[in-house]
Amino acid sequence: MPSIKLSSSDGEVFSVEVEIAKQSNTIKTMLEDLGMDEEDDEAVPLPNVNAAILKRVIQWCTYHKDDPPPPEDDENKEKRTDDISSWDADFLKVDQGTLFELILAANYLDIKGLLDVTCKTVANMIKGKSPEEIRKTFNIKNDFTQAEEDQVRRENEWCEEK
Amino acid sequence: MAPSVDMPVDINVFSIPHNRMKELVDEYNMMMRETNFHNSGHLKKALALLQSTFTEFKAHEQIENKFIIKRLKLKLRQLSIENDAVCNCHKDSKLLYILDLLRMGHRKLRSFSERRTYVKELREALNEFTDDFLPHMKEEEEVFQPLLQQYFSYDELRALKRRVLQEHFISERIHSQLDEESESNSEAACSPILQLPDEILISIFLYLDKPDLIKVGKTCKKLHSLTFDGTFWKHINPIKWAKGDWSPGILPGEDEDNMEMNESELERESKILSGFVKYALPKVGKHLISLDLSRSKSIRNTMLSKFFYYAPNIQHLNLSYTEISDAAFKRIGLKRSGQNLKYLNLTSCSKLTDTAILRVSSAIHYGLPAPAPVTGKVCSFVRFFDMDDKLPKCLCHVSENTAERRIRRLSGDEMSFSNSRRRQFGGETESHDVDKEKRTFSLENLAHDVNSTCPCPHSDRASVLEYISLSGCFQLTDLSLRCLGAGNGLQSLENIDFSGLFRLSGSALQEFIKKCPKLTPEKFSFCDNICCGSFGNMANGCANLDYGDKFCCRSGFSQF
Repeated sequence: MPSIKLSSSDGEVFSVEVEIAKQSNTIKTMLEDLGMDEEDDEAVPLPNVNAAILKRVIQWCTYHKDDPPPPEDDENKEKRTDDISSWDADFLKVDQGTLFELILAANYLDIKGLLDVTCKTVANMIKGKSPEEIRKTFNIKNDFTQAEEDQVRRENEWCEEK
Repeated sequence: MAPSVDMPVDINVFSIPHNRMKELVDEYNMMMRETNFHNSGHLKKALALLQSTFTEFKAHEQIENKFIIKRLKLKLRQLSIENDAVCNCHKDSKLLYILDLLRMGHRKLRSFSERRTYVKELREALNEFTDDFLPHMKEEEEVFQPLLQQYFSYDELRALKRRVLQEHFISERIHSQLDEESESNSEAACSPILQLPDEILISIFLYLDKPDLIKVGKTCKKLHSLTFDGTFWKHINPIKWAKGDWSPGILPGEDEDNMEMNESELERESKILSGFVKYALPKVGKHLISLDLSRSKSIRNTMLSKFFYYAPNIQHLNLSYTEISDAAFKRIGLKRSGQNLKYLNLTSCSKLTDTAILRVSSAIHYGLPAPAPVTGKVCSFVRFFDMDDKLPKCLCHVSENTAERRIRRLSGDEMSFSNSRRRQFGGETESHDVDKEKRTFSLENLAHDVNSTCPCPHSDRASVLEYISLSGCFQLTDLSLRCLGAGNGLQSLENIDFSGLFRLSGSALQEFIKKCPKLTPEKFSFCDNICCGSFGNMANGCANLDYGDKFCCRSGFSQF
């Protein structure tokens, strides 16, 4: 199996099978555009991903290497969040900081499957919660004044369930 | 007093910054004595102060290294002078150690014992640092300052001093800025989710239905503004929402069984629709692409007017089975509103007359002028029919009979405007069940439309309309067809439902479909009673009685 080297922001180098690494469109494009081939000894620099996160990303890509390519986004399709596989759910049982770093990495590396599943995970952390519960979950400070808060409530009354 | 050039005074490049550093040392020593480290709040405050103090020390040492010591070394090397003191200075390992310690302190302050060990360690490190730092500054002043004075000229020293002070000033300012920023960001720092880029937050929130999205918007200002990003509000389906279906999908599921709403759903529909129009539409309207109000009981003409005003880019509009009338379309066409319409479903909007279709036409052929308000331009309309045979080709051709009938009708309507007209047309009046003024209005608008457009249509763009259903809008006449087919025609129109429009004439239909090059027979329905319509046997409305949503004059909708 041909492999390439990926270098994290903090200088750690990982050797990854090309087919696994190519789940990242960013890496795929880099390989194609720069004509980097497997024989290249030089590591692909990934200045936006640190070693801890890169390790997890590679873990995810390795598990999902035989997945069919994820479908293109379709506005007409309902966006479900209850279809996260149990492996992914376990994989994403991490603290918020790590979860957000994974999202940023998936976004930077352009790995659609990982980005989708991480975004769904965060969405599930929001669903069904009251504003106060959302604040608590994500440690968000309420920076509305009383008057502003009243106004926001008034303006959104139409959208309250039941 | 400024030193004169003739009488150089000592230029001490160290004194001013060192005074500041000594002040800082006193400050933190006092702070260390006074802080109660058992209180985690006090500890945090102390750590923050130490952090900024030591960052400043570090910057100070860097400036001295870069601008004074390095220059001094260079000078000495140029002059081939060896000086041990200069080589051994400025090892700031203790400073870096404290900075490391502080960084650690921000993280692990959990248990009491951990805290105690940490504070002890910190205190020792600070004492050691202070013990080194004060003599270090003294050494600089006593050893380096004389060297500088010995080997640098007055002007060089003066420039050096200015530079050093400037650098200190800049670094201090940067730090105070950073402090402010980190203070204002500290909330964000506490909440990592707010540090994600907007595009990512949006892709997360796209998984939420509207009530959840709105709740996110209630948490803080940043998220509030983000929840009104256009991405979330492209497809509006208040009727589905009223039934409790807030799923983010675009179009409603066609569950015909569930068409009737109960009372509480009706109440919610009204609340949702009016609230949305009042509060959300002005913010998100320009991003709105599809609006489905099919079977809405609470949609009013005024609301729809607002949709056309705030949502000019709408492409998909379903108003079927509603009670709207011509006034709803008053604002379509203004500011090019409606020019992107691809799908228009007005099935069973039986209150609509030619006026509405005229207004829609002026919008979809956006080169055509918007309908003018009622004026006394009736004569221009008459001229239009007088010259029927000379009409430019861009208009649908109304058969002679129809035109005659129209003129007779018009002359009747016109009476309300001008008595002289009555005389000219012989005063023949037909009685109509439709409000006369309204009819005059629509015809007159058409006249305006035709007059200003037809000699040289400036519609430079074909309509993008792909689907239109007017099924059951039984009041519509050939005039509607003429308007719709004006301009460059309907180059994209593929699907037409005119079922139940029994007032259309076969010849007008024939003319109309010439304007619709993409239309195929199986996608074209019209009333069976119309003779000589195109696609005779294949395309008719009455054969479609099995479909619940098709209209026909025979199908029991015979209130018309």
